[in-house]
Amino acid sequence: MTHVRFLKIALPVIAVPALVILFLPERAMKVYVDVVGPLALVGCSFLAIWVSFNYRKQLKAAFVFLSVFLLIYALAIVLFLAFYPVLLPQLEARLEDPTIFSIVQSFQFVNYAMLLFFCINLLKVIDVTKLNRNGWITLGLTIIITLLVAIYPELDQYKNFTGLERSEIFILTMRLLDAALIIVLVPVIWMYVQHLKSRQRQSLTFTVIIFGIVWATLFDYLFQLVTTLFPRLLPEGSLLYTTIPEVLFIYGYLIIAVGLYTHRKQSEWGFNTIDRIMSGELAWAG
Amino acid sequence: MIDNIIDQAWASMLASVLKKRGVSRVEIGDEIDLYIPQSRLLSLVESDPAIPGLLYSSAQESARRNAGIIVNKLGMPPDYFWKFEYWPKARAFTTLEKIVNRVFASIMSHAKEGNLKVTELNIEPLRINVTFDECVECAGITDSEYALCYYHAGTLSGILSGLIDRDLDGFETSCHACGGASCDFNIGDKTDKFIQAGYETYINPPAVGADLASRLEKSLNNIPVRAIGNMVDINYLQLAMANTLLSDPENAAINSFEAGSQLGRRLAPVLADFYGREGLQSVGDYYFQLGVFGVEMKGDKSRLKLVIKECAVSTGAVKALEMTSFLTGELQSLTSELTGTEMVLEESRFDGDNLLLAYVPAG
Repeated sequence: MTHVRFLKIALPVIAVPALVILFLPERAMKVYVDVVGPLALVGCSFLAIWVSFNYRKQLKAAFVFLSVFLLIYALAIVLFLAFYPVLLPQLEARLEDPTIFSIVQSFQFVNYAMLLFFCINLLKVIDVTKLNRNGWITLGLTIIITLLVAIYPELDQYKNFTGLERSEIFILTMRLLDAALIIVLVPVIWMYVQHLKSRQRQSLTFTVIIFGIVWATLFDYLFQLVTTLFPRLLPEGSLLYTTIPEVLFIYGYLIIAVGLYTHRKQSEWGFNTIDRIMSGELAWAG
Repeated sequence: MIDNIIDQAWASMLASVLKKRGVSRVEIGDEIDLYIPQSRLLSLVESDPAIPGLLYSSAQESARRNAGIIVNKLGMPPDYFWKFEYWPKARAFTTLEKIVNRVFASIMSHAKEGNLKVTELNIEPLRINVTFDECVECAGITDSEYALCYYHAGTLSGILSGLIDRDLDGFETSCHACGGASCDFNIGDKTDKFIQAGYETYINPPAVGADLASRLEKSLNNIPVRAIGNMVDINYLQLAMANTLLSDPENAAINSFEAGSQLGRRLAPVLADFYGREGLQSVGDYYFQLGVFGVEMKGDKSRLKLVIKECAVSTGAVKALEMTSFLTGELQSLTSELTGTEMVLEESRFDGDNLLLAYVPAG
């Protein structure tokens, strides 16, 4: 097995558990999403810790923060954000709405802090100053587009910025943080493309992990933007408004999982390939 | 052209390990006495104090390029050592040691260049200690004051640079030629002050010299100079010679001819004594015994024509006359000394796989 072959097989295969969502009845779909989403995230969290053992300093810290982020994210979904959240009904019976909202908000902010620490450590490792001209143009366009994607679908609500409620500020902040995340991560992907062309070494598997994070963050917003710009694309009240974002989320989580697993295993697979060629077990292309 | 010869030799050595290489010299075989490359490198080093640095740099550059080509051919992902500087020490050592051992130690051991082993690694600052036992470059030399395996210092730092994609330099901390049990190298970042200081001292020795005449006697008498025998793959000779030419083939070939000529004068009495034959017969015997080539001599002292077959420095598909310059210089002196007439090279060209040389009396 090589990491490229594994990715070629795994990336299409993981689309199946994501696409299943589109074909399940509503109630079964909700249970499925409530189970598969957090499970994928917890799996990713463990994989990220496993990968962190391969590194030290900032790169180790980056994977540890990624792991904590994924774990808190899974917990947040199970406790508060799922179709059938575990904790929310209990809290609703005991606490006022603003208090519950504050708890959820705190959870989300702690989670974003982890992601922020991940990005900071990542930027210390990846030398963004080596971006070429096209890379900087791409980064500039990414800033414009992601900010547009984050803000545009909600623009009607925020026409009067002075009168925003706390919950609206929170949602807007979250969307802006998501945009910031993409802005930080896109250069990493671009650098892979850039280095690939110059035959230098950038990690394909690491890029897959970053792509998974970007996918899980960006594509839901893109979907929202598309449905806002073209409201007739889907029938009003269609279940697809719910299922398509869930498909995108689950596929994104699974991309991260596949990327992390391959990243950890590629050294072993690479050596096995060399060993088998050297011992004559595998044919040598020459 | 010289680059192609180097790449061809590396590829041939890899193919040999993978048992994908045929025999290129049917009559003589693909091994040569290690005295041949050794005497050539040492003669060049003795002739010009700049040679250690040039040889080191060329060997490093070509090994770095070929390390990349080889691991790529073997299916190692280009990002295999991604962010090596962030790896824990244990992982870095184990992974590097495994790859070096499985690929490059195999190639070198198969070619009988020596036994390569990564013995220690430190990540910050990066220091890689490498041991090279049974080193082909210095085996049999025992009287040197200074470590002298410049080709291998460059090659080993080049291989490691190519693998982890970092600019490394290295120097020899112990050499068999100075009485060491093995040849040991310390390799680290080019910018590391400790490495820079060690490298500068190593690459600029006050004087390097070895008694190549008595060293030749050991080879002629088949006295083993190392545990794995006195023979080495002809590709090693090609790599060593090509790397002495790489930086400036035209001028390096002129210097190489001169160094070969000086060595020829030192060796002529040894050959005459050893073979106890009159005239040029001992020249043919010498080169054939040590596996350099087979020769057919035509003509006489007024125009001596040599048809050299299966010449060790020009067996591959890519041939360059510069590669034969040391040999033609050496032959010029040997023919002069053994015929008692000062001879000069009149003609040198390839005729198919054979090398045709003609020597005529000077003036």
